[in-house]
Amino acid sequence: MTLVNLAQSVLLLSGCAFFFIGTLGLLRFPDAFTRIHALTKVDNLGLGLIVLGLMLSAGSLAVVLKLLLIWLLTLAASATAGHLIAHAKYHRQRPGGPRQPGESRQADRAAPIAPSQGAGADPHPGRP
Amino acid sequence: MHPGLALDGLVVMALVASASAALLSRDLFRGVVFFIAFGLLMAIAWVRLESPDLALAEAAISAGLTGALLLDAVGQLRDPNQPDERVWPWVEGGLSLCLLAMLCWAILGRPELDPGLTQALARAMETSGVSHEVTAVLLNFRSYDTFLEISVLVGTAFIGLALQPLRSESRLLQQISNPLLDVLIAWLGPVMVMVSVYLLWAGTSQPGGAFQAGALLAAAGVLLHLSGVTLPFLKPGLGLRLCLISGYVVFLLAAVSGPFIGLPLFTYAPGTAGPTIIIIEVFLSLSIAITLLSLFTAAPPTGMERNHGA
Repeated sequence: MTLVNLAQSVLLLSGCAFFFIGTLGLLRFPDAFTRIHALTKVDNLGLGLIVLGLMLSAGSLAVVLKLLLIWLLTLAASATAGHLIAHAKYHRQRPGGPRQPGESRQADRAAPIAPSQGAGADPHPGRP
Repeated sequence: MHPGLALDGLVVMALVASASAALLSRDLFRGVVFFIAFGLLMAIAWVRLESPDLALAEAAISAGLTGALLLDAVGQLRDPNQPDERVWPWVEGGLSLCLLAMLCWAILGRPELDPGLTQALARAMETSGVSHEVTAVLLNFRSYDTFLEISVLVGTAFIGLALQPLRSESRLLQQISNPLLDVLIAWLGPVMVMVSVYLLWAGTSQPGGAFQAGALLAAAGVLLHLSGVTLPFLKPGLGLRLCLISGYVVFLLAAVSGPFIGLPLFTYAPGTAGPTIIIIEVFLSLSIAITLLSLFTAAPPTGMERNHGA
């Protein structure tokens, strides 16, 4: 196995590991904000590592630049999307207000929860 | 085991898992998210089947625009978690299983060494006017199918626009005034238009084509619309109607130009196939872009706007 192959394997595997960690965070974190944090940071880093690994076996400079452009565009798009989602959620959410589907109640256990459930409440939180 | 086979098995399992999660989840929002993931996995499946054109179209239209439309629809429902009133659950399930069994029987029983039309296509490629086989088939040899597709799209656009509320001209769907989004649009808007034109042009020799270019252009329009930019060509009027039907009309003209010089329908004059295909594709992508964009912007106001405005 040549050095390039070894470096490529390391980069691709660590990129996949970062994606796995990001998905783990998505599944385990209680709130939308923490999930956005996990997704945008960890997944972008994973994508960067995978792109670096793919660059090592690219045929020409044009392909390398295309891969770099893909990574930068994804970075910009996901960062902006994460910011927009968090921004919209921050302005829409009131403590004890309507729950978004899939959220746990741990996030605002400190605040008193109003009796109104709202239309967004999930009546069957245990099911997928 | 061949590593490609393991990857294909993973993709198939993920497809089945995301499809069942999309159908069986009681929460509509989650179902739509799984549908988007399903669209993305289908794009990967198309790549594994060596069909990059289909993968591009699947990712752009199914996972991208249709996902956005469905999310918009879920946002409008007053009670998205209404219990499903399924009258015939077992009938649907039984019919689906029968269909699955028939498909498996058809796939497993196909002849082993069927070369299909590959050689006939390779022989006819010189007269097609393009150098990419998929584009040649879609826009020259089997252009009737593509013509019907664009007819369906135009019909859908008219129906979608007819359902638009009359008062919605001055209202913008979820105007998001965010400096970050404005900067992103300022940078990405021109890039998306340029990539869309490139996809259209590259369709003659590489994977690409009118549908992919139109979907990307529509996505750029959706992004502009979401950030509050008024799109004057989307107001109901002559311009919108012309853009919507231009693809259909140009395709129809190219199709009936054959009989005028003694050739059958949908046959282009010899030697003019290349330019004809380019012209058709340009108007096709314009029509597709405006159709998909107007379907997105023609949506009634969301629940939040309804509550705030009432």
